[in-house]
Amino acid sequence: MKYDVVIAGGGLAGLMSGIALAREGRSVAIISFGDSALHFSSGSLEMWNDAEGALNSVAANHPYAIVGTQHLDRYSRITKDIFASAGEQLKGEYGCNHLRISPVGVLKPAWLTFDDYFVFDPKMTDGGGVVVVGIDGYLDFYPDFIADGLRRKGVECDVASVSLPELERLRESATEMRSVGISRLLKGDAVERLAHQMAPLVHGAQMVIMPAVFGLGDVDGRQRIERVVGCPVRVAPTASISVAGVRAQKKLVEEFRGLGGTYILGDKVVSCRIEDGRVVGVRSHNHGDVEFVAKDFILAMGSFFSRGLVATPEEIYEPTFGAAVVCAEKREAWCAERILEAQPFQRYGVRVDGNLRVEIDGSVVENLYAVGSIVAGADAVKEGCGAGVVVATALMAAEQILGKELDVKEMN
Amino acid sequence: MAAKFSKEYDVIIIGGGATGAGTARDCALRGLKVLLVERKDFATGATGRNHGLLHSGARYAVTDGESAAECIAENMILRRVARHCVEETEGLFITLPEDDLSYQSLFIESCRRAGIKAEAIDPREALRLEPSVNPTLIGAVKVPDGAVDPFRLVSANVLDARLHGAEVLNYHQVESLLREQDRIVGVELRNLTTGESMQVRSRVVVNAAGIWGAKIAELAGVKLNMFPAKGSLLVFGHRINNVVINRCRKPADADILVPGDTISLIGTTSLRIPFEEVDKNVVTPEEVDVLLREGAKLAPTLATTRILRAYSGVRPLVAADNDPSGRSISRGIVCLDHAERDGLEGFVTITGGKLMTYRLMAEWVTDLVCRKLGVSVGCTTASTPLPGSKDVPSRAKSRKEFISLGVGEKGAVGRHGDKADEIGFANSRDAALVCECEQVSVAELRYAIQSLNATKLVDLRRRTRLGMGTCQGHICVMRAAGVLAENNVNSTDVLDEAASFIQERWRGVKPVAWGDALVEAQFTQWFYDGVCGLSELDRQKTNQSEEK
Amino acid sequence: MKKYEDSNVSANNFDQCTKCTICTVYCPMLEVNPLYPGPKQSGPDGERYRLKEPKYYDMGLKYCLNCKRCEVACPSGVRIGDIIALAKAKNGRKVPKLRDVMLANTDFVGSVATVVAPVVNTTLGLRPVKRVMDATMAIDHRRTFPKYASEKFTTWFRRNMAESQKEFAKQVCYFHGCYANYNYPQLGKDLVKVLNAVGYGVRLMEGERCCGVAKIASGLIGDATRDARRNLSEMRKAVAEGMEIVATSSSCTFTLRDEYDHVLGLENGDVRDSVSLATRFLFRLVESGEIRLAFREDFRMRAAYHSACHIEKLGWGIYSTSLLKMIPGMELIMLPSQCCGIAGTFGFKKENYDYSQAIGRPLFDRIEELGVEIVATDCETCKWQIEMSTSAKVLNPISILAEAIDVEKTRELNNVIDL
Repeated sequence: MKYDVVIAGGGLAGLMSGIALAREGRSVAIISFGDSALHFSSGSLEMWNDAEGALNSVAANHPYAIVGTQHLDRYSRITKDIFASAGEQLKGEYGCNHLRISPVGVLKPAWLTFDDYFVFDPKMTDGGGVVVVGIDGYLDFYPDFIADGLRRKGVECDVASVSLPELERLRESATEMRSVGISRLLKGDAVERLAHQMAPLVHGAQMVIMPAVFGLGDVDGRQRIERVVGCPVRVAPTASISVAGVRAQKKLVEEFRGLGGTYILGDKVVSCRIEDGRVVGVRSHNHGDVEFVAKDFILAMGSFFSRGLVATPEEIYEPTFGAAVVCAEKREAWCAERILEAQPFQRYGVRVDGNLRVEIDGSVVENLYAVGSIVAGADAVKEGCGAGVVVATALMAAEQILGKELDVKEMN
Repeated sequence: MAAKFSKEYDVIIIGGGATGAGTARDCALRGLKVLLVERKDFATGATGRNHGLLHSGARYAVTDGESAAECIAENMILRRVARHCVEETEGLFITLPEDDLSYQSLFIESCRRAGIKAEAIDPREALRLEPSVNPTLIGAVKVPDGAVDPFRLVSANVLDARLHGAEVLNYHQVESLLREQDRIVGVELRNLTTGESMQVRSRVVVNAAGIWGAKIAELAGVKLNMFPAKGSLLVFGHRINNVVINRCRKPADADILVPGDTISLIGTTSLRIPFEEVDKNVVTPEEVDVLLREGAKLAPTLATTRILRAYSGVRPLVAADNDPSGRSISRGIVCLDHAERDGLEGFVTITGGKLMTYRLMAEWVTDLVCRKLGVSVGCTTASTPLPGSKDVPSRAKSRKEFISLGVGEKGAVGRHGDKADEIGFANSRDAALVCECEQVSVAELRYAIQSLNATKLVDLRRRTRLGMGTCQGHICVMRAAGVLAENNVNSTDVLDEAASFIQERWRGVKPVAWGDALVEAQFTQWFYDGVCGLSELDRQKTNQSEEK
Repeated sequence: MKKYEDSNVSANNFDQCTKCTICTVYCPMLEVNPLYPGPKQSGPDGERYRLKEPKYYDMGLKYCLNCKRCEVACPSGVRIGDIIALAKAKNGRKVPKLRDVMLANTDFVGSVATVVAPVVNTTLGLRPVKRVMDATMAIDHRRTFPKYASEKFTTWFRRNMAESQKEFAKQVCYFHGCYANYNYPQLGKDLVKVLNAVGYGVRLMEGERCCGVAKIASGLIGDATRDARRNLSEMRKAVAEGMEIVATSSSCTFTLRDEYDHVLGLENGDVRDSVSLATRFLFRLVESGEIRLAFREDFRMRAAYHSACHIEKLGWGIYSTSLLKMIPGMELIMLPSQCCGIAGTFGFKKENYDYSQAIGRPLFDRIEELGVEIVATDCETCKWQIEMSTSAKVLNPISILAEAIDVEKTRELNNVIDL
């Protein structure tokens, strides 16, 4: 099978590269081994973990340094545009972080956030009460923790709980009252009944916060609740699966396919053929001797979680292409004593050159680019740069392949 | 100022391990007024940090016939009285090509002498019995080994002690022993949760603090000659074997593979450590390598099985009084009347021994206490079933009934035996699973909070199996925090506990953090720190108090 | 390079589960049935307890469709569906219901039914008969039964084709499966037409047995294994003769390639790569330039492609759609990838009928909304379900190709001389 570009990895990184390339008329195939870490999205894309979020200098080996911080503003706009075309509005812009709320009530700096998510506004402290509404028996949302978090910021806050017979039915299974199941049931009449149940509980509130369970049932569920309760309804992230992440993944895949892209799920690249310093074809588990031939290749397999990197007691390696990896040699050095402190392994990844090209057997491969969290040098957790690094490297690689800068569409 | 504790007890037992809990139960069953104190939670010391092997005694048969005989007797007793804590798996002692097969006959002979049924079987029969066993084996002996869950065992002993009037305080540390002339008359305790101190009086104080017993003895001004010996183990992601596998040779490192609940355990190493390191429990990379290398000889699949975590415990080895160097260490039971030994009345020490003989140790020391108090009631713990093992759970009288239960009920019945009758699953809210790996429901957590002295998240782990499964708490910790918060525990405190919980899990994962364990660790940090921002919670709380 | 992920595997990778719960997002059964414990709990979670003691088995596992969509979604390569299928086989009903045995024995029932096809078809279509089947065997009366052909494909082939096929220089072995043999021989005939046009002669295996997909789903592992051994030995003969084995059913293909190894524990590595879906076989030849296709100029079709669950798992829908897109007169619309609800014999069982229809509902609605007359799919049971639940006619891509190609021109292009 012949394409212009074949991308190994179909998470946010692979999709951003893929969409950017497909928009420019390239034929692109994405081979994805299972679904991606986007399914655990906090509802925000993070750029940098400080109050401002603008980057003037970073360590020389950081992916941002390779990308060039001067390009981040542009990539930021393109990201918003790609999400918007896919049908997902993001709020926020480069250089001015806002505060999102975490499932346990911690306010964290974020760069771009899904439109329906709660972001903190200092004016809230004197705007009346906020009510955090949970769903009875749903164990992955914590109204008390979120309310406490807002109270710490001086916002008057209450909690309430609602329930519906159809939601109760989910409980017939001891495990399956999950965000996605709830979301699918929030459609039609159920939304109205939920709204009317909420109305007396949130009377007079300046805002209502609900778990992020909208988008897989009726698309306008949240707005309809707003109309009934008479105040803005925003969502806060749940633990486990993120409905917004599922929604975004689905829309981005549809966008990519709509542009003519081929998205293959549940398969993985198992070998590659390299000739004269270039990858000429890759083979996958499912397609066996039918080779994927392309001019350029992108490695977007993610980090350990997505099996883009593999650790054994002896070494850490990149299993898809056998690309050179940056990591500490001895396993004693991979981890820190405390789980919540900076973990060295989070920075591990493949070594890339100034054009994001990887190295195999000691030499740079001319047409194989690494993008996303598999690129070495960033600590997504402690620097709060996970999504930023993903979209910046993904778009830069697309530009490298296209040989030109991507256009920025100005949006209103 | 120390708040006075109004009550006076017949006996105060220091140490909430198996021995202390067993002693509290035995004393309570004999009608004594009992207080059990523990500085952390129950079963946090060596009790909860071993193989969970229901020893047949075979392992000691050649080297220590007396211990072996004690083991087999207790083994048979526990099968009766602690049925819900025991898995009757049987055990194999295998001889590999590199071992001396002639040891086998000495082994069998020694077992017989100790009263342990040991039967040489054909290696092919051994493979049929336990398909995971190393197929190159040249000899096998079948013995009545089994598995015992130490957390459940201690919990049932504590519960029964309380049901018979004993009072129980976990998270209370002994600050000093109250002394009047040549007599110990009570203890001064500090509540580690509130920081408050109090004095409690009793006619006898029992030191059952395991390796920390040496410190308690120091508080009493007497010297115990103890040597901490660290043993490390690895926990695997699922059950590899259903029969205990041992090496038929002189006891050495990593020569026992025990199935227990949903996992298998390989151990142990053995290393003398200084007293300063007793609370550290660090498993070194070298220990991990030895455990894996030697373990794979027992069951080769072990080399390719996911490792969940590593942990270590410290055995309280006691040297004879005339052997300060500790060269001739016994693993036998040491029961000391300090009145006789040191001229100090009202203070006794029970130590040495092993998890298997906890009941016998409790019996000996309770006999001693009773003699001192002039009580002549005999011991009944060898024949009185523990709560949970008294009856067949009413909702699962047959296998068919068990299969028809909901997943959370199955988990609860499996862990709590007939006490599961007290766990309500009436509404679907309570039947919901908090811990999906280990099938722990909201109802079971509530039962543990209300009936089993669980006040913290980490206690809930030991009372149930919360967070002990594949994800090591990734899914369940926040959910459990939510349930705990509903039971009137302050939310920020609960979040601190959640952080402690995942840190405690991480401590065990870190020594084996590669492969799937590292995948899980990355996922855990992403969620708890990346998405939730748990590490920033402290900072934000501090800022708030400054703003105030 | 030594690969950790190749060696560090538990049975069907259940230990590799990171408890991320992505599988639960994509389970079609969970969407409609709260009594199903979901793929995570039924699969890797439950497996740890079942290893402790089989009594931890949950009867809710019977609701698993074996659609494998959980496996496709899993980022850790856990074969969740296989774990569940094996657990069902080990712990499910020890003596299967007569109905399940009948539904699972597609080959036996088929061979009897084809003999008396007119009677059977009429009878199975009669309302009173359906009521009786509903009442006595719990086969839902609302279900339309697939029709049985009066002449088996194999009978037709041996009578009319077997000799002429030997004349072709290149040969391929066709695994027709129960459906093409008993219910819709035209599909087999269509394949022969297409393959002959591009210069391939078709051979059948001696005594092909049912691939076993329905038996596996019903927990009849012993029967499935017996059939599988026979098929494997025949497949080995074909491979030894230098032939590839092609099938027109995605489920048969998937079962022969993956389930024999994963669920039945039969070594099939030596023949696995030689088993292909007919569309994949053709696509490869077209792409490599070995064969060329010519199409009728007057052919016009507007069709929607439905990606069956097992084709999704194989990842091979792309071959069928690529071939269909080569047809100049074809307007091909992709349907959203989702389960149609039938899941082989699952939807025939009375207790499952409502779940089955609820699962497929969005798909049916979409098909009606598009107003397409033809739906193309590689799976025969999807065909039954979609034809019963919508107004569309469902065709295998091979049948569409057979209709669309210009046989004479294609033969010329491929230098197929008159025999």
